[in-house]
Order: sequence, then C-alpha cells, then structure tokens
Amino acid sequence: MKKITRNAQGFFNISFILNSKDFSVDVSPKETLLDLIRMLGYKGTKRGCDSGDCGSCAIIMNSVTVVSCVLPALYADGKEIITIEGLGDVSNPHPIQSAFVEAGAVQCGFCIPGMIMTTKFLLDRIENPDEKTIKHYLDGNLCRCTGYIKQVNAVKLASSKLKNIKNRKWR
Amino acid sequence: MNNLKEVLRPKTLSEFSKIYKKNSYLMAGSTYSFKSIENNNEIKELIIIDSLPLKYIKKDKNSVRLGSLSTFYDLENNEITKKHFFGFISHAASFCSSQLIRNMATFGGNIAHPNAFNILPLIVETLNGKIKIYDGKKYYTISLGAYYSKKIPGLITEIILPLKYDKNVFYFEKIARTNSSWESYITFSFRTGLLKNKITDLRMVFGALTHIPLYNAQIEKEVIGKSVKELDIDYVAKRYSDFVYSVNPSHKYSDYRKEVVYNTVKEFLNKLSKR
Repeated sequence: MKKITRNAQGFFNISFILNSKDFSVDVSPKETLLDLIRMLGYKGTKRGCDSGDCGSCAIIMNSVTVVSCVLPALYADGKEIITIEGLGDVSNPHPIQSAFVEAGAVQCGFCIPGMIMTTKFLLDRIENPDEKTIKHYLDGNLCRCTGYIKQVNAVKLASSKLKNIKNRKWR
Repeated sequence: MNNLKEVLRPKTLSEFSKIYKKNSYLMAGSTYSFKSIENNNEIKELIIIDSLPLKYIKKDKNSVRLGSLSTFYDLENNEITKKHFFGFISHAASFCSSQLIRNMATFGGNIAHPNAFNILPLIVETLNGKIKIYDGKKYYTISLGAYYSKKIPGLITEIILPLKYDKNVFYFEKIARTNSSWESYITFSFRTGLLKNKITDLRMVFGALTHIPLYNAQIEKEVIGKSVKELDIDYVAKRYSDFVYSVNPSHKYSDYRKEVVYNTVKEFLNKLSKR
C-alpha cells in the first residue's frame, strides 16, 4: 500500500512519469493536476472551464484520456501521463496533429490539444471510426470557433494516416 | 483540504480493511470528489481507491456483477453489458456527461454521491439490483432504497443485477427542452415483463426529479397482471404525469415535465401493445 504523509512544509511528495520523464515533486492538497502540469512547463494543456466540462485540459493518464482540472495533483502519484507535448512537436508532429492542421480544424487552437488527446484515445481503440462514433467521443471537447465539421474530418484523416503508417511507433 | 495529513492508496481489500475508518474520505474517479472537498477542512485522511481490484464486469448463473470501479466507458463498451438486458446498461451509460467524464466516473461513485443527474442509480433501481458494501469488517448486500435511507458507511464493492429480468422490455431516455436546458431534464428508465400480452412485471423509474431516482409502486401494482390491450393507457400515463408533477409542483419546469411524462409513458405503453 502506498502511503504519502504531509511533510513539515505542508506538501505531499509524489512521483510520476510525464511525457516519458520521471518526476518527483511536492504538491499541495488543493493543487489540481492541471496546475501541476502547467507549472512543470507543459502549457499545451489548457485551462478552460475548470470544472471538467470543456475538455481543454484533457491529458492521457495510464492510457485513458481524462480531464486534469478536476483531478487533484495527488492523484497522479504512480501514474504515467502524456500531454500534447508528449505526442509530437512542430518539427516532428504526431500524425493526428498533422491531420488537424491539414484538415484546417484549428482556428484559435485553444481546444485543439484536448481534442487531439481524445482523438488519440479513440483511434487507439477504434481504427476506423464512423462519423457517429467520432462525434460521440468528441462530445466532451468544446470548440467556440468552429462548427466541429473540420475536426470530425480531421479525425477521419488522422485515422487514414495512421492506417497507412508502417512505422507503428506513433501508436 | 487544509488539514489533510495522509493519502493512502490500498491495493487490496485486506489493506483497505486495515486503514478504513468511518470518517475516512474515499476517492475513486474524482469527477465528483475533488471540487466538492477542496474546501473541506474536516478531511484528515484521503483514501484513493482506484488501485483496488474492483474494476470488473462478470456474469454468473443468476446475475451480472459490476465491480464498483468500472467506469461509464467500461459499462458502455463491455460485451456483457452490451449483450444482457438488451444492451440497456450500455445504452444508459452512453448518456452520461461527456467521453472524458465517462472515462473517469465510476459506477460506485455515481451511487455513492446522490445527485439528480446521476444515471446509474436509475439502472440499479430499474433492474432491482443490490449493492454490496464493505465496511472493513463485513459485507452488506442491500437494495438501493435501503442504501440511501440507512446511509451505511463503507466502500461500495459491487453492484449485483439479477438476470431474471434479462428478457424484459427496456426503455431508457433522457429528455430536456433543449440540449442546454439542464434544469428541465428528466430521465426515464422502464422495464416490463411481458407474457402473451400480459404485463407480468413492471418498473418505471424517473430520474433528475430529486437526488435519488423515484418510482411509484402503487401504480405498478395496479398495472401488473393486466393485458396490454385492455390497459387504459391514457389513464396510466396521466397517473404517472400527476405523480411526477407532485414531486415538486413549484419547479420551473414542472408543467413541461408533466407533459413529457404523459407523452413518454403513453408512447412506451402503446409500443408494448403493438408487440
């Protein structure tokens, strides 16, 4: 059983893996996982509603996409976390990231990291989702700029891109 | 949580039994917990239960057993929940919030934190399910109604849904004036046993009216045993709409809900009569 006791400074020491790097940090009991991730410099994860409704703060924790704004940082102890930075970057983007750009799905871009994390979760489970399934999976990622059509197209494009990639390192 | 001293993460129920106290705060998926306890300075010990071996969905001879740490995503996509009760559980779970919340929220959490918008208590009530609770010393298996009225402290370990209703007719719907009109929401969860057009069993549960799901045993008693063709559908629909209206007549959307209940019950019973 894992037991974490509050230290003299009033913090709890937790350890976790973030984007393949090991971290051991002190967190306060009221700190959210979103706060922690952003404090560590991974600012691709956005703060939107702060109540788990908009999906801007979506991350992958132990292979499942979750909203980090409603999770206490303490919850991350022992977990493996991936943020948008862990998927790829400008010089070496993940096929899902490329698909969103190519499909013109990005306007202001604020919601896109969350959408991409949800898309990753979907395509990891269903290789070739239909439109109804895509909309069902993206129902927790709100976008205030678009009508969602291009994002749905982007997921379809990402699906075909991933199918055509022989190098499975992206999966 | 300013006075929090310890965070514990048991991996087995045996470890859990050693640390659990009646005032321990349990956290599973955290979709409900964290925001509601953030400013609670009474909590000294937090038990995060996500590592307990309670994330399973299995079937035995008489029941479907759902581990309390099964998420809405699990319930929606599992072969057992898709296959039994005509996919009613899977269908209902897909109505919950958003994909991101369905990935995190657990069955146990949805039962343990009563809220008008919770969907899974309706499933348990509709299927006459039982809840298994562990208080660190012994297990209790009780109905949902007893769980909410007795407020037994402990960990919900399992939800047991009897397979004797497997071949019943099911209906689940969530209706609101508009998609964003959350105050007007009403959830319907119906189950009927039919034998040669005769109603052998009935459970019509309504959600989002109060923090726990409601049904009317008196109306059900009057309907059971009758032939669908002989049933005065209009009268039954009106009885149900009056029942729902009476729960909170001063509610902003009580008239809307009354009308929706009337139409939905009528449609459901009409469909039964055409089977």
